[in-house]
Amino acid sequence: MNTEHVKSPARPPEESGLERGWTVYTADMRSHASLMEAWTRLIRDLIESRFLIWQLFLKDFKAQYQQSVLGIVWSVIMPLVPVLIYLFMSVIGVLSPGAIGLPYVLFVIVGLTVWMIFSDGINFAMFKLLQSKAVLGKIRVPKIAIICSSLGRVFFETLVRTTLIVLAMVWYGISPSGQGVILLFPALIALLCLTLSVAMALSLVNIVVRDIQKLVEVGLTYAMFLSSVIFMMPDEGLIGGISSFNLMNTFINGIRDTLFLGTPSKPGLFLLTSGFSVLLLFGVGRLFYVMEHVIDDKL
Amino acid sequence: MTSSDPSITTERAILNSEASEVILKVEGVSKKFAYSLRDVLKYGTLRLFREFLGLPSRSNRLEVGEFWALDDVSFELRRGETLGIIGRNGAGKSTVLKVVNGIFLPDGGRVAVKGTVAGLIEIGAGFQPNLTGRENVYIIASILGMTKEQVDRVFDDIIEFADIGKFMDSPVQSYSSGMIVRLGFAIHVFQKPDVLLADEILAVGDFEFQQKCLEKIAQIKKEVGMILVSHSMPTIVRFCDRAIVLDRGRVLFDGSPKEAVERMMFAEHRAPVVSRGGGGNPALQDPCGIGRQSYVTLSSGSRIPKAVFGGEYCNAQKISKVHCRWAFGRNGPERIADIFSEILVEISFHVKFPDTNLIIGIPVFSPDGQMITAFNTDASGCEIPVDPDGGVFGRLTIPCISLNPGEYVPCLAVVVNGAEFIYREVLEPIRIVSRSSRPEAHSVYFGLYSEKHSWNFSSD
Repeated sequence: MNTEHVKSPARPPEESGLERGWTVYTADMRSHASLMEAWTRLIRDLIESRFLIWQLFLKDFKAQYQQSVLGIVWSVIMPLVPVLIYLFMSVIGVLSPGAIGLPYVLFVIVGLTVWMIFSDGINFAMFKLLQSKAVLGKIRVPKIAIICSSLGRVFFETLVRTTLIVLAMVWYGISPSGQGVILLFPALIALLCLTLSVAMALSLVNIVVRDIQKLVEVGLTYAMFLSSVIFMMPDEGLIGGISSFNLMNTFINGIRDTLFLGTPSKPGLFLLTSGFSVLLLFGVGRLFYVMEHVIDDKL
Repeated sequence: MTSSDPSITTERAILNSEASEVILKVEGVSKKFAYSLRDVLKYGTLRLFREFLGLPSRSNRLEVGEFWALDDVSFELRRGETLGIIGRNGAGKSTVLKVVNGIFLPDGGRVAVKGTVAGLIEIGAGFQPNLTGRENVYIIASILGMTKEQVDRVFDDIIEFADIGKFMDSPVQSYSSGMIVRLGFAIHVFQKPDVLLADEILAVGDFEFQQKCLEKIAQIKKEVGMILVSHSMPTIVRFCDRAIVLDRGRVLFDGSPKEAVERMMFAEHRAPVVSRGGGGNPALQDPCGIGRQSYVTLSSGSRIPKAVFGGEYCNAQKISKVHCRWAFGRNGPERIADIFSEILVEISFHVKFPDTNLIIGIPVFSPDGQMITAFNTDASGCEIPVDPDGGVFGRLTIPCISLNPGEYVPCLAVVVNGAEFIYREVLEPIRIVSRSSRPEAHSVYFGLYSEKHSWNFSSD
């Protein structure tokens, strides 16, 4: 066999005796890519496929509400359904969370909105990538583009839920902290980093091992109850200690506190979690780039 | 690789001397796959872990249950050149296209592409059934990697080329399969790639649309390097400047399309004719001698691959002792007949299953592979009696052959159960001549055939 080809390290195009403008594919080109190289390629893929991302988002958006009488109205109703269920339960008094210093309705809406960025982000990405499998085997499409297009729906639904938050705040006469609204952006970006990292890693592995999707569905359902979405996790004691390792618990509490109080109640933990999320994305990005091609022939 | 073959080296040299630039280099490329889904998952997961831990991928070794789909494949492609890839099913043709397209990374070797690659491969892939044709144009084009500006620029051309009228605004799920292909082809063909990959695309749509596609491809093939995968040997011979024969993942031949088709026939014939033979009897191993020569020789000396005429096949478990004798006129020499003379064809063979419905067909081709006419027992309503011992003997009489002077290649085919070929042989070419000594001879012949006729004018 041509072992000498395999064993020779993959050289970047510039060094391989070819002029610029050549695209080179070798066996180990991806495994040898450094963090910088991997991210450069990923970002280039993203920029090159921005039109594709938009088209895929539009396609899914249209396809979702086609052949329905209410049409686009569903795009507003659907994101609100899970929120409204918990609202209803709190209004009839099934859920009584105790003293939280905030109208319970607002507590739940904000918690759910933040939680669903994470859980929908992962679920949609896994679903989309699996669904696109057939096309991926035939046409070269960057998988990162497909994952990002699925995040489009998350953005949209979050926007709809945010409107509800604003309405609820007007209803209760609660205004957000000005400083909090500004701090919200970096916090949300950190959350997005975490979501994207988990979504990228899991959706890729899920193509090879389908068990992942089922595990994740179940896992996310239970994890929601451990993440201060509909009731507060205890702050202290053993559970409080364990909960500080639950990144989503920290994010949800932190973002809720930031929005209404101006700062997270545990700023140190929140900063640590955010920083970790950003670093995680960097690491996962490289792994994603390295592992992406394994999926293609193992479909 | 066959680069040691001197004739190919010269051919390469000629190609190299043409100044067009190389835009694709495939260098010692290997690719392996696993047979079973279980192994696919197992090795896939292991590979993910190895990559995760930063261990070398071990891609140069075969694990149990894996095989090389491509094995040390090398070739180059220049701008303006059309390269054919032929080979049996599973020879690795589509895998080559996918590696060149960047869908698969090679497990060994290197692929280098200058510029963009586009594939006319899965024309129906990616369509969203409940969106309109118009909306789908944007989706497919974006999947193919076009930017918004690029799509806007060619959008009207695409619609004009697809020519499906008002259906452009109907959901694609209401399209006929032909309409999807038209729209798909139109989108694909308006990408402006440097390397164009085409997998059996010259057989899309109805006749009119096929001609349109061929015209479009002829137009763009000057500007791109094209790789054409096809099972249609005439297409390869007519369309390609060069062809590669793949056999079980290896390049068997790289050179002129005609020779490639010939080599491919060799590769193809070793298997069915011999391996399906009836046990140890050497007479039955190759009962008809087909497969010994992969070309027919015209009187001019030029050799044409038999594949041009549809290839040869013999199922030795079902048929043996095939003889076919052509008798021309009363005193004419073998294989040369006067136009408007009588031709007799005597056919005999043995079948192993005497109760099957037999059909005998004799198509007649022009040297470039066009079927001119055919004689067929089924079409003539003739039932073929089979002796109790399986023997079949019959005769075809053509009382007045009216093919114009020239050379023709007849074939003999025996079919059972309406569609299953048990025998197909490309026969020696026949020559039709016109001798002025004969009363019915013309001085000039027009077209492909001539009717026996006479002119009468009255002057009153």
